[in-house]
Amino acid sequence: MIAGSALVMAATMALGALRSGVRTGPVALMAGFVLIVIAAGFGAPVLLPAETVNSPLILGLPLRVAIEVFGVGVLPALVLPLSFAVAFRADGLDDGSLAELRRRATELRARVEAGPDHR
Amino acid sequence: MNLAAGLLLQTHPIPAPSTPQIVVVAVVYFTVCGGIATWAARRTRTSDDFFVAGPGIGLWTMTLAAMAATLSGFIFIGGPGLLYSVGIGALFISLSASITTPLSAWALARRMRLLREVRQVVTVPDAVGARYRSRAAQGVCAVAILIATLGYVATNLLALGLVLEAIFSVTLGAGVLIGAAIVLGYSATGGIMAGVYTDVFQGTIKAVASVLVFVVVLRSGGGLGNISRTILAQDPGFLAPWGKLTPLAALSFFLLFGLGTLGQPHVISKYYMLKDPGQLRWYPLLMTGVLLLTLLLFFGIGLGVKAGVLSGAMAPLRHPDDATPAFLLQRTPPWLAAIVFSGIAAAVMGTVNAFLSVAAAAVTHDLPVALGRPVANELLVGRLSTVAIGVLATALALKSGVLVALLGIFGWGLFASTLVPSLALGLNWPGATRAGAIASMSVGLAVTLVFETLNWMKVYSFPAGVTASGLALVLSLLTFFFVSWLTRDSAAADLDADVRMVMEA
Repeated sequence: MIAGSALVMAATMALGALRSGVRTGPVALMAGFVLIVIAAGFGAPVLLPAETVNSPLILGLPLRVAIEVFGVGVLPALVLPLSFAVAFRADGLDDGSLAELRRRATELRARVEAGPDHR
Repeated sequence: MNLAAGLLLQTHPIPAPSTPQIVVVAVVYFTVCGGIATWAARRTRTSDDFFVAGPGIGLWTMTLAAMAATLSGFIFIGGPGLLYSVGIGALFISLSASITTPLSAWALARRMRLLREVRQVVTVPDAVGARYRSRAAQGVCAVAILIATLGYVATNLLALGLVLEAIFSVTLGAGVLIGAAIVLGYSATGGIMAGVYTDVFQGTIKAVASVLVFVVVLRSGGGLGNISRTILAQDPGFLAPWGKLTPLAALSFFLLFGLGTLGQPHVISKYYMLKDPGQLRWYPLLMTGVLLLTLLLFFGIGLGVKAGVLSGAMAPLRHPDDATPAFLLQRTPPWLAAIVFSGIAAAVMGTVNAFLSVAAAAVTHDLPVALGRPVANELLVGRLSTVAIGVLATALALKSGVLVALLGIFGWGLFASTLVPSLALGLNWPGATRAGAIASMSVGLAVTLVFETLNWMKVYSFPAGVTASGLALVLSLLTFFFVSWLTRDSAAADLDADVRMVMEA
């Protein structure tokens, strides 16, 4: 279940990023990061021993919970949105490009109208 | 009841916090919301204004509106109560918050925004119809959304009634009617435009109040370390990796609420609204930030109240959902408690508005288009539909508690199983076919309705940790891929050239 969750989330992100024109290398890094964070964040606590009241705390939480909360809940928030900002392609989104997109879409639709009707 | 869906419902009375300060702040709060809604309503002149905020909104406005639509009153009441009750396992509902917005932005944002540009789509079923060149796909999607939203609106109106009952010391029925009248008033006149701008005010207050409450939790508990040690000493299972849930249940929460976010129409439809699509670059950063800040209340109160009760600083709770009201009334300054109580009501109202807009669009736009009979005056019919759906949901909330709860638990599973494969994957995979999308949505619809009903009637229950919503999502995904593969020869014909251009842009 841990591996499945990690795979599904990483694969969906990779699919969306690849279709958005991001190069394979950065996509692999982002998807790999998601895969590792989820797999390790939920897998490591299973392997670690239970804490006692005197166990050391990590930023105020027992180690296993800290791995989940800070590893899965917080770390991706520092990495993934910035990765998105860096890899995001703004080309094609300015007013001129959008107008060109609309013009080309209208042309293409005009051709489609000659084809079979919607079902 | 299916835990994944059932925990979204608020049916337990909230301890009466009615004090003069809380009543005054609530009245001021609602007056400000009313003023904003009135201002926005005057700017609503077309059906585009009504359903997709017309000429578009800015990045901050979109972010706060999306946050307000994402985080309903559950985050303030049910969430901390669940954390108090089952421990860290409850956090798996929100742990994916740091991943979901970048995920959704990659999978949907650019393509939905560009689809709006070239096809003038206004609803999520519109996008499904355009993607598969199919009115039937748009219709099935609209039916699923309508069933899900009707239940959500009814359950949220019931929750709003409970909140107003507590704040103003009125009866539950009066609370439901007052709440419904306020939300319907601004939803029917201003549509999503009114909702978006009130959400900006409400979302800001929610985020700021959550941070302040978290600071109070830390100070009153002697810091997070002290809170953890208090809990570890008396109830170590609470701070185990899955809390008191099974691993399967906790991980199901993570996957359902993580991947399921891609199928929430009231949230993803905000992508249509961004005026400058180039600003999408910063959306995940802002949205993830405000989401995590607002979730601090969920995390803080759940842990803080548990430690407070275990240490004897707070009296044991009668019901887990009392965690937030009890903490606010006993541990926070009255002005902060007043703001949070008003924020809870506002959060529910924001959610109702967003769902009303989605449901009204399904009735006014999607179903008529699917039947080949588009409505001429969508603004007028949209307003009338909003009122009709609101009145129906209010009647359900007042008259039929059992039916409301049953309808309410359909929501999450229907959204996830009908929209994640067909839209989130379909907009990224040219190999998806019309038959695959319709089959997948039909399977999601059937599995959710049948198994949630059987579960509700106690005829059949899944093993602990397995949910009907999760099963529906998995089966609809498998159906989507399998039927698309079987009908792969039609994939190219099912994709219009301009939509393909959007998918490749």
